[in-house]
This record gives sequence, structure tokens and C-alpha cells, in this order.
Amino acid sequence: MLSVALTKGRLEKQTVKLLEQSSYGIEALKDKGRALVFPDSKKDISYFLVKANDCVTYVEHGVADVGVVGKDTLLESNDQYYEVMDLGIGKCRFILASLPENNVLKKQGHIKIGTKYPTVTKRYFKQKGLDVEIIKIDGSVELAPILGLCDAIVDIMETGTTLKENGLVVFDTVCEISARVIVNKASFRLKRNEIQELLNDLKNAIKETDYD
Amino acid sequence: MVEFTTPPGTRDLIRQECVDKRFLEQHFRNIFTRWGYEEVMTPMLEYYQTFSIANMKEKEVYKILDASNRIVTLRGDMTIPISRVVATKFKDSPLPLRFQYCANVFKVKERLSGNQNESTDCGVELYGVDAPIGDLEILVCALDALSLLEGCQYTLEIGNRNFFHNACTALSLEKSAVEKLADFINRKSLKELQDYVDELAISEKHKHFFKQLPWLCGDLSTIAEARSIAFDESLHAILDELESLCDQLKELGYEQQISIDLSKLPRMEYYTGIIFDAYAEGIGDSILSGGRYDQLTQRFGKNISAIGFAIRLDALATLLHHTPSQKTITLSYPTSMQSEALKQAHKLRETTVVKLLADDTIKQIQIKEEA
Repeated sequence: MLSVALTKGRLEKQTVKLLEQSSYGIEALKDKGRALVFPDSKKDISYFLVKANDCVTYVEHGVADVGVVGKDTLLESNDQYYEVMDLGIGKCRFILASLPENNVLKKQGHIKIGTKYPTVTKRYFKQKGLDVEIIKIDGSVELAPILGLCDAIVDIMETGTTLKENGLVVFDTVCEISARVIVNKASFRLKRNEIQELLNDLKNAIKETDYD
Repeated sequence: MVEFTTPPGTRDLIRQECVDKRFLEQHFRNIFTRWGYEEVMTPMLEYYQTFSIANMKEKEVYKILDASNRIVTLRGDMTIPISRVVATKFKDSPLPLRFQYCANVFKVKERLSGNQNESTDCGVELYGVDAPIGDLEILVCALDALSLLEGCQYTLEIGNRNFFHNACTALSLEKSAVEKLADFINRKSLKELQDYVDELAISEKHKHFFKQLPWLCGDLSTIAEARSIAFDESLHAILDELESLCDQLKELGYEQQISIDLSKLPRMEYYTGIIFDAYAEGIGDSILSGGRYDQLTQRFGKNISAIGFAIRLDALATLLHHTPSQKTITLSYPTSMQSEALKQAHKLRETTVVKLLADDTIKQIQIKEEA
């Protein structure tokens, strides 16, 4: 049996849709009630819904064989899994943004960056060869440069509306994000055929979506 | 308030946890001893230099300053210290040399990742037996040790670090490109791999090689599959060697227990030939890993070929539970009769475990068997 951890929320609907297109028995997932684990009515698979960070943890520890989770979460984790597929759903990007007059890439002197994603931020500025101080913020990151807590922010942007409303502009794209399939290292070996079948089905479902 | 807890990544083991771990330790010791491996014990502390010369990742090493301000480390693995011992204390000894150990090793890991910073490795190192003779011997020894897992689903996966590295050398890839490719392949980060390979200035055929490589794992038919993408003689030579190794293992009856992974890359930089890992269902990471490291002892002053493996006892102990068959009795006595009780207990201890219990509510010594 294959156990699959799905990320709750934004990605959930799109992932379930892909599974549905592959004719998996996901009725239970669509009509959730209070259940936590959802058996597939056609395949030997059970699904469970967890928060993005937990999805990675469940897969790393082998409690889930396969997980579907955003690249943003993976970039902040420590890589104890295989990232085998890009589902091409849940697309957005990490951006560097600030007030129009605050282009930190051109600033001389000390730079402070506010972000929920310190690992991504650190890696990005290291690539740029810039020394920055990172300030971890948990919510409403857009507020930080306005109030002067930091010079700029690294955050996820979907449509850009929030940024615009707060008068912030994008200076650079840090990286593109989409949902990925991750696999536990031991499961990849011991359940290779089942996993490959699931991946192939998902791959076909993505192709169909592209034609639409 | 003072808190009395253990540092991150360390743990106390109690009761059944200790029983399980000691049972495994004893089991593997017995097997290794019967294969002719002698025990070696090295200090928990080593000079930093010993590990840095073996290219252990700097940030994974615990570092302490000693009284004379030299950097001392908590040993990060056992292969490096034993190679140091062999290259120095055994430099004029006849080969082969066989050593076993069961020891705690220390690695700094990411906080709260659920990984242990202190863990117990139980393993063997075989010095002075070249490939392929030594390879087969050590693989069979590993399979012998793993036979304990009968009833669980497990596999010993074999690869060769040169399959990837020779391909890179043949294409004269730059060091930074090799590192990037290795990282993507190691994590089977297929999207990044594909994007990166597409940007490399190499032919389509060679791009195909790197894109297919992560999928070259599975049963023994993988070797034949790999032939179709192997683009030069040295790669075919590796496949030939692997094939004959697997044929021999098959002949010995291990076909079901082995598999191939040609995309396997070593955890440690010092490996030079075949590398292998064992995986068991229910455990997220490998439970046994090893490989050939023919150039490590050279860094300590003497060139001796070597191969070995280590079993991760802590991971395995969570999978297998051992019930001791030893009978236990409780001997209760009134305090006035303690000497008599000690005498009786001494006799009983020849055959059973005896726990003493002072109890002034009773008049005579009572013996009760524990459930």
C-alpha cells in the first residue's frame, strides 16, 4: 500500500483534480467530513491531508511514501527526500520587493531583509555576493519595509495585488515556485513500481490539462 | 529554573530500548567475529586534522579546543579513525587486516529535524583485499548480517561512484558543474536536474545520460538498461564488473535481497569504487551503508586498499524488538533476615535473575516469579 501526504489548502484542490483526471478513487477526499485518512476506492493508496511543513516531515520519516508540496516549503527544508516531479500547479514565485526608492541591489552599506523564508533569502543573497541581515517575520511581511523595519522583503507573490496595494515594487525574481512530488528515500526503492505508476498517471494528467 | 534535558539530537535510552539495542549489537558482533574481524577501539576524541584530511564536512563536525588550544573533534565516523590506526600502527603488518567496531559517532545535524547527532555504528573494515575479490566478500558479509531482517522487506542496493564520476571526467566537466549535477542526482531533484542539464554545453546523447541516470535503479535488469546510455568504455567496464558481482551474488542465492542504483553517490568523499546501502520498509533512511575507499589510508601515510560498511543500530532498533528469555524472580525478606536472603539469592543467581525487596510486613523469606 502507498500512503500519500497532500498539502492542505491552496494546493489541495488542484492536486485532487489531477488525481481525479487520472481516474483515482478520490471520492472520500472531495467529501471530507471529519476523517483524517482517506482510502482510495480504486487503488491501494491512502491519502492524508497535512500542513506543508508537516508533509515534508511525514515523507522524510517514511510515514508517508509520497508527498505533494510546494517548492517554497522544500526550499526551506533540509533535503532528506527525493523531489521527483514538477506538477506545474500552484505556480507563483519568490520575489525581492520594496518601496520604489529602496533598490537594495544597488544600495551601499548595511542591508536588512525581512522574510518568512530565511533559508531562501540567505541562499539568494549569497549567490548575489551580498552580505545581508535577515529579520524573520511571520505575517504581513509587506508592512516591514513601509514601517522601516527592513530595507526590502523576500516573499511569495501570486498576483502581485497585495504588493501593489502597499506601494511596493518587485526588484527581482528570486525563483519560480510550483507544486512538487516528493518521495521517501526508502520507499523509492521498496515500492518503486507503485510509485512509478502513480508518477506516470500524474504525468499523463498534466499533459491532458495542458491541452485544455 | 534549571532544566535538566539532553542536548538536541541526543537521547536517553531506557529499559526495552537498551535491550533491543544491545541485542542487535551482540548479534552483529557475533557475526563479524565469525568472519574473522577483530575489535578495535579508538578514542571518542580525535584531532580535527584527522577528519579534515578525510574531507569530512566542516560544519558536520563537533569541535572543541583542548588545553593547548588544538582543535579536537568528537569522531564523526569510525572508518576514518580505523584507517588512521591501520596506516600508522599496522603499516608493516601482513595483509589482509580485518577490524570491527561498535561505537558512538557524532555529527552536527540540522536542529529539530528528528535526526540524531549521536548515533551508534556497528561495522567492519577490510584492508588489503582489492576489488572485485574484497567487494564480493564484504557484500556477502553485509547480507549475512542483514539476514536478521528476514520477515521484513529490505534490499541491499549496490552502485559504483565511478559511473557518474567517469562520465563527468570523460566530458571534462568543470568541478562546479560536477558538484551541481551530483547534488541534483543525489536528491533525485529531477526538475532542477533537467533544467540544469539542458543548459550544459554537451551533446544530446550526453544530456540524455544525466537525465536518465536517476532512474537507473531497481532490480538486476537495471544493468542492461544502463548499457543503452553508457557512452564510453570505462562506463561499460563498470557495468561489466557490477554484472559479474551480481551474478556471483545470484549464484549464492541473494538475488531477492539485492538491487542496483547506478545514480548512487557516496555520503563521504573518500569512496573510490562500489558503494552500497541497505533500506528496510518502515525506516526512512538507509540502515547500512558502505563502500570501497582505496585512497584513504594513503592520506595517513600508507597506501592500502580498503572496503567496509557500517550498520546504523539506532534505526534498526526501532524496527526489531527482542524479548529476553531470562527468568526473573523477586525475593522478599524481613530486614532481620537480610544476610540469609543475600545467601539464598546468591545461589539462585546461578540460573535466574534475582531482585531483592526488603519487606517488614512478612516474617519469612518469600520467592515470587515475575510475569
